[in-house]
Amino acid sequence: MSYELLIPEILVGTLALLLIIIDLFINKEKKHFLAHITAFGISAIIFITIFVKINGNYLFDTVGQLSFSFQGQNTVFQGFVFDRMAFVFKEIFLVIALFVTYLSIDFFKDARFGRGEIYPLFLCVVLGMMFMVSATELILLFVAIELTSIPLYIMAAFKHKNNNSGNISGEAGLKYFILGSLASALLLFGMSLIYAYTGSSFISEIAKHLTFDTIESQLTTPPALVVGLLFVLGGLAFKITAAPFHMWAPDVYEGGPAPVIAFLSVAPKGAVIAVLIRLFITYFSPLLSGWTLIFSILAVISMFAGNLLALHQENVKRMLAYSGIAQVGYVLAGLASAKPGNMTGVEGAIFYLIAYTVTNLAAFGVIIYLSSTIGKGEFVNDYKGLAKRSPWLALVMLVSFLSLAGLPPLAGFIGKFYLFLGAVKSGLVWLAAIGVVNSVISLFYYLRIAKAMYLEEVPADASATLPSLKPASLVLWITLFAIITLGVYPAPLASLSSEIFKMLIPL
Amino acid sequence: MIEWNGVLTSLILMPILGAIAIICSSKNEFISPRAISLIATLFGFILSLAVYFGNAFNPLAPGFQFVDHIEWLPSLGISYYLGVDGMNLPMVLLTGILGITAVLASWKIDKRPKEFFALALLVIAGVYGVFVSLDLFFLLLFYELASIPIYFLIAIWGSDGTNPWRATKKEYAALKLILYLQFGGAILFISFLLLAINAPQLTFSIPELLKVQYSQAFQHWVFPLLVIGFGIEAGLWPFHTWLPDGHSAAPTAMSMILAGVLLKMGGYGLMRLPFTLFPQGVHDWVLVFAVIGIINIVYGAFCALKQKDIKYIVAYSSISHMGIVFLGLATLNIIGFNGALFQMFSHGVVTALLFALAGLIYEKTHTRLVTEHGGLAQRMPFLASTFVIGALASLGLPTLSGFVAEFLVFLGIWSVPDRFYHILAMLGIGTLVITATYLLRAVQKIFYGPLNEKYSTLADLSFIEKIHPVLLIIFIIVVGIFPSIITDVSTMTLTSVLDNLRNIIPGVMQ
Repeated sequence: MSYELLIPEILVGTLALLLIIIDLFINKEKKHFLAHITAFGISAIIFITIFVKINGNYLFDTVGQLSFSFQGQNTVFQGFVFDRMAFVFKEIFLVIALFVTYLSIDFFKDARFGRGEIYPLFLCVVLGMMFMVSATELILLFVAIELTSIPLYIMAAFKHKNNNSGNISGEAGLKYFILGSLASALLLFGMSLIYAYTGSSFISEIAKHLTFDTIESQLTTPPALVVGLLFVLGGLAFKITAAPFHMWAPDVYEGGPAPVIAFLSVAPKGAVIAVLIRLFITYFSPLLSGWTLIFSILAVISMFAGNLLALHQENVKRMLAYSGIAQVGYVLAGLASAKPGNMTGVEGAIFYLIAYTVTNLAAFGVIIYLSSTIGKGEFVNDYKGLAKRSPWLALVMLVSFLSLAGLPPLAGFIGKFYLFLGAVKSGLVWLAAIGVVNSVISLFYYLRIAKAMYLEEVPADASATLPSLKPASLVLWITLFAIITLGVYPAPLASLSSEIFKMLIPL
Repeated sequence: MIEWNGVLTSLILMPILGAIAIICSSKNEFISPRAISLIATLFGFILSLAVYFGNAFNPLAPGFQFVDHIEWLPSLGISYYLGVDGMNLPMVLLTGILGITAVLASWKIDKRPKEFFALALLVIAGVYGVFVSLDLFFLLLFYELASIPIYFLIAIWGSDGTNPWRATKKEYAALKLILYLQFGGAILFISFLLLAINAPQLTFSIPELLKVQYSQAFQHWVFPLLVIGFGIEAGLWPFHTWLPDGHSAAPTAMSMILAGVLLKMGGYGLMRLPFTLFPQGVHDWVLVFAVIGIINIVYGAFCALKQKDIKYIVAYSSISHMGIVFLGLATLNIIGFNGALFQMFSHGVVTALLFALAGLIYEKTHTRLVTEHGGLAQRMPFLASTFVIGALASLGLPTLSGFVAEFLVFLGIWSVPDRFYHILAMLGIGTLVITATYLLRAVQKIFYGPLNEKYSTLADLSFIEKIHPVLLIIFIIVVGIFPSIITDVSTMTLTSVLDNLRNIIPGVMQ
């Protein structure tokens, strides 16, 4: 048992508790100090986990050698694994939380909020996601998923006093809660079926029961076990808004407060994709051909549903929800191309996730910026003439949309190239063709906002210039830089993705 | 493994640096966007002239010269690979010429000039990149880099169509263009992935792919995919419908670039990839390709006959002339190939001239309808004479470059000992009459006849406005009288392409 491996989680949990306690002593008007404390705390955690040596070793040294272990151990117990993918994803979640905190400092200053619980809730979600990417045991996985989801339900309902349009945030939170609980129930049912047929809740034990007669090409596992796994897959697909499990996403994205939605659109998706890679592609690989078939079906439905339904949206947050569904479709297409000997698609999925993360943060960052300064930013009409009012914000929005559409020389293009290369390598040319056609379709609705920003005139009642927000601008600078750098110089991240994947083979 | 020459990279980099400089500059009149873009494109023009006419390029040497090669993403087989040979060097020269003339043609832009010149420079950089790229990934990257800014350029600075039967707004034309070009890019994306994966070792570099033997079935199905992908760009019928609206709605400089080099990017792509890499595919599909080529010529000419908007006339004539390129490729002999490449160069210059002058006419008279003009030659003799030269070049008058191109292509077709080809040749040559009709009729309606009262106060071209038509005319005449300027450079490379084809296809001639 090496509890040193739990240091990231312990630190995050401690910070969350600290924030709750500090929150008690802060006045209603000064709640935004909590944001600064949170940001400082997260930065400290990132620094400690990367740079501080524990007993003479860096924490990530455990994953530096081929036989990854920290003082000879790489698991806390058989259900918690600490390898390179887990480490990288944990750091990514911390960075996302840091960015969202900075982006939303001015957003939550509004007297409508007046409550500081949002920051410890962010950290609870991060804690849950950290456990999710390390989990190789069903109960731990379930608890981690719940720890991720329940604070998100609360956070989605956070903006409880809306302008005049009723309680849309509360409605979003309630919808998310009910549908999310249904998904968790399905997940748990699947897990109980699995336990019933294998007698163990450890993934490595379960994997031993999955057999596939390659000579006869027949499934020789008990069918109920496969059904259980499918329920688990369905529950997880809900969390990443894969179609046809996506129905909650547009309403929740429209109603929730923008920073929460920014976080929700990138972080849980990354966590669940990591879980999918760890479970279905690595451990449950005897049935890989079955899983890839399901992934490819989910991918096609997600791509079409997301792109076609986004074409008519006038609400930018809703449009980003549908675009997120389509983006998950591309990532699933990469996972669907996994085959023994060709993991390019999976590496591409990890690359694309990171590219999608920075891009979506940039896009939502602009929405948050506009909402914080002029109170608008939800509808396409709010963006008319933005190029003249704030050329910098319009540029960030344009670059992030072009990256989402997969245009060079931006990060999204490299990611899509990687993903579709993997698909074609596995012989799934039809999947790559559908993906590429969908990218062209998506260009239409992304260009619509670009058109509004650059071609339309500034409406008469809009302010001519926007005040500047330092923290939010800093985050937007960093994400813009990241999008362009990843597009022009992708080699470091590409080799990181391959390295992550090489270390994933279960012992 | 690194090879570095730097010349081609600087060709691509200068416009990009110019664009960045423009964006970062304040509204200081001394370093105006026009001056920066003029310097950037002048650099490209002089450098391309130096590379073309200097002694450093040896047309007889096999392989590529001026190579820049850096490993970029080795795990995926992608490298930054630039180089020129006889096939793309004339195109590089064409881009050099068109870059500077497009900037000169836009000298009077006063609406948001910063953004205009920055975006235009990005397009020019992308075009250079496509022509010199020897890695499929970077070819696609530069293709996209060239096409995206065009959407904004047309949608903001373009003009609406004035066809009496169908008025098209510029935003519509821009959106149609970008979606169509992106769709072509998507098809190319898939084709490139298929090409790269079926090589023994995953690689995207063209010189490596040249050595790969693709299976017959693969060639049979991927050849049309590549042809459609590049054909969308090149105005291949029936994928040409973005062309008339897009070219006509675009601002003058963009029309010149679109018709001058963007179409040629498609033609060059056709030459470089499907016709070089897929001998079996060529053998299977060449007749279909020849028929589509002749449809381009005839259909384009007849459509142009009907048009009343001057830019639409020139746009449809572009479709028609690209058909000559396609026919030249379909001949599979060195005369036809040389003719196709020659036509790409010649038509690029001629159509740029015509669009530049059409833009100048529009500036002066504020109408694009041919019927509303009349007798302009009395007020603007210089404009009239340059337009007449352009029209004569387009219809193939000897001593001008268009004649050489068409002569080579039709001689190539006639050299094929196949009656079917001879019929196609006759159809094509017959269409020259139609070409002459619509061009001369436009000239007559605009410039000759009684002077329309509205235009009695028009002045002729100013000095700045005279530079780029004269520059283009110089090239048209020089290349028309000394066609060996182009063919000396291209013949060796095209001959080696044909040798490769001859191994598979019997009857490919010298």
